[in-house]
Amino acid sequence: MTEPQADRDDRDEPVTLAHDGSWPGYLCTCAEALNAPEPVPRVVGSEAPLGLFESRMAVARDDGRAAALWDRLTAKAGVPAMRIVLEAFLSERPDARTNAAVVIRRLRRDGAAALRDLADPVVLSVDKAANKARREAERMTGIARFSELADGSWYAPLEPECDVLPLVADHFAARFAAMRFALHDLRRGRAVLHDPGRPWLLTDGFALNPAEPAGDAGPGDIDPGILSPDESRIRGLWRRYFSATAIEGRLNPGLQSAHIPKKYWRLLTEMSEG
Amino acid sequence: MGMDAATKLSILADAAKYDASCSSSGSARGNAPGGLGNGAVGGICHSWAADGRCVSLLKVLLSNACAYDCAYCVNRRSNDVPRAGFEPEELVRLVIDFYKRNYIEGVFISSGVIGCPDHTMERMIGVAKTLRVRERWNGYLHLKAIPGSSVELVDEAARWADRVSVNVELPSQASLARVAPDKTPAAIFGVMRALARASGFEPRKVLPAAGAPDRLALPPSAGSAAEPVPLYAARPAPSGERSVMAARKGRARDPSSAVLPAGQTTQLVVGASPESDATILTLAENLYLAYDVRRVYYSAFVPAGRDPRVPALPGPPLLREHRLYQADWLFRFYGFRADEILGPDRPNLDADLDPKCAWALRNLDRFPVEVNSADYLELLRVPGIGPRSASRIVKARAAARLTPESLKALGVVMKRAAFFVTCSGSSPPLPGYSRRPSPDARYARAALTDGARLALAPLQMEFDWGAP
Repeated sequence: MTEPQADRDDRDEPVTLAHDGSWPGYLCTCAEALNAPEPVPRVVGSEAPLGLFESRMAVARDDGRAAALWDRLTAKAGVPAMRIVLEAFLSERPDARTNAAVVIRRLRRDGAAALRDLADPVVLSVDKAANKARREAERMTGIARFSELADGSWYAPLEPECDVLPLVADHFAARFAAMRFALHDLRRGRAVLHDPGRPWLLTDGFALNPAEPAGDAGPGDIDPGILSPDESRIRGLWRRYFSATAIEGRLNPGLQSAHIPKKYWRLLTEMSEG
Repeated sequence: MGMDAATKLSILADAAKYDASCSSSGSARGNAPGGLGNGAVGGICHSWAADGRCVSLLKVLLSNACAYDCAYCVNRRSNDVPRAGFEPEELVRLVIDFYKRNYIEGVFISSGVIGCPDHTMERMIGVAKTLRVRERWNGYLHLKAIPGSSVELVDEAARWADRVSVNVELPSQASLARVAPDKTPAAIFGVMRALARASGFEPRKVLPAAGAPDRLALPPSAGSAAEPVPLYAARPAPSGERSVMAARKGRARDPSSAVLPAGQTTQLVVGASPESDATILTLAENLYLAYDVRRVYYSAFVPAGRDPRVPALPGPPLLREHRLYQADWLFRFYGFRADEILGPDRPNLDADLDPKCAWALRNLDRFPVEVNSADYLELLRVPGIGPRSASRIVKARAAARLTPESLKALGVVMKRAAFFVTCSGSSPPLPGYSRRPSPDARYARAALTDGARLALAPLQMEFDWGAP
């Protein structure tokens, strides 16, 4: 059994390898760690505070190198196992990325079987982080709310805790194949842009209204002038439906917020006023 | 005429909300080129209403005017409520507008009986066909079949829909005759048979064989006389019979099928008639086995207006409904049979314990279970272990021997499981107790009591069926 990385003393870890926070950059750092001699260097984010005795080396992002490692690991461990690693990375939970780097090492050695060792705290923490991202992505496929803009395109703002856009983009691109849409992560200022007939793409620094800084916008903040003329009428119909469908004799606000925590309410059409 | 769209929508949503079916799972219908939408096999919840129920489908009636007079139903013809009806185009527009905004996973269309069952079915099928053909919409479509519809129309509904359901509602023929006089068992089960065949399942015979008594007396419950259940033939499956879970394992399903990929479901109303939990669960098990029903929904009776044929409950029997759902999960995911959960000596579910804990305390000879060697099905029977943690246990113990700590990390609810397992021969400690758990101790029952009664019983008052 491996000790959880968080419990290790920095003095036992003379070298750490830092990634730039991007998925390819992270994979490159993992590749570097795989090649390093014992003791295996820890993989950390470059934003993490530097430990007193830590000597840190930043690893440059190289998309070709990242793709090569991805292909090698996928060939050895299979796509489902690597998807779990990706989900753990996207969970942005403390230590998930560091622990996933350890798991990658074991995947290279033992293949997908490494992920079955759930009695190991490092494997378990990666599994849990992946579950968290996957669940939130699943939730987002239900609670993303699209608005129609005057130009006929569609816009959906999200505020997920995990970086779920890469996990939900395929779903919405398949479902709304004929719609031009932007799926906007307000927390990270990032968006998935979809044009019918083309593959979706992920952009950083997206703002619906370029005049305003990214991160402050919400559906209430969308300039009504850029919405389609029908939008507010249809939102109104949805609110009417939503309130009519609850059974008065069974009202249970506690159960409701257990299912849909209030942190998500702000962006839900049915939970906000007019 | 003249009624605005929002008012219509309110009336027709209000009229549809007592149908408990909300699921949008089971269909992998793909999007078509230039089309809109697809199915998500696992189903997707899009919101949760103030009553805590999930909102996945736009659940509306095409019309709430109804020729029938079912006492449990808010839309019965003798009830004085405002009536409305959608023009087919209005409903089509609404579905597309909501779907594009990702408010909904699809639509669940039902209707009051307008004229005759076939005419009503034709109107619903018309909307379905427009959505599928003209709008090229591939979202989740659930149609309600009207009892007594012709086999041809049931087949056509199955062609467009992901799921079609027909509601049994009353758990015995006697109650059906009293509470829903316009419906007959033959009209309901005829549609169920047609739906089973449409999804490639030959219905099994549940009627008693020739020569067998056609009236089965179940034990008296709640002060009523013995319950006659002719025609429904809800007899317990013989003990050699497979469980619902085992029967389903042998049934290949194709979520990508164009016809009825998500199969059929049904609903039983709880508390509008005197049947015991045993009668309801035995009937549900028969429906799963005989018609390959995917889900049986249990709907706590909400009194709507005064009708002397149904009891004037002070509130819906939510605790009872909750326990029935728990027992239903034991059928589908844990390999239990109805006669293991309830029997002639125990007609009703325990109010304080979930049905699995109650079963475990009655079958202490099967415990403790050694987590390092028990097979998957044995693990599933342990309170505090579900399908997810059971398969995690099987995976994890291949790598290392399991300890109480690792069980907890794997998601086992130790508060319950501690009474029923051993880890390498020794029983795990209970948090907060100095002693080792012993399942026969009186505190086991206390510790296993869940909060459901506290949370739900204040809303539920028992109706005394024996009172004059």
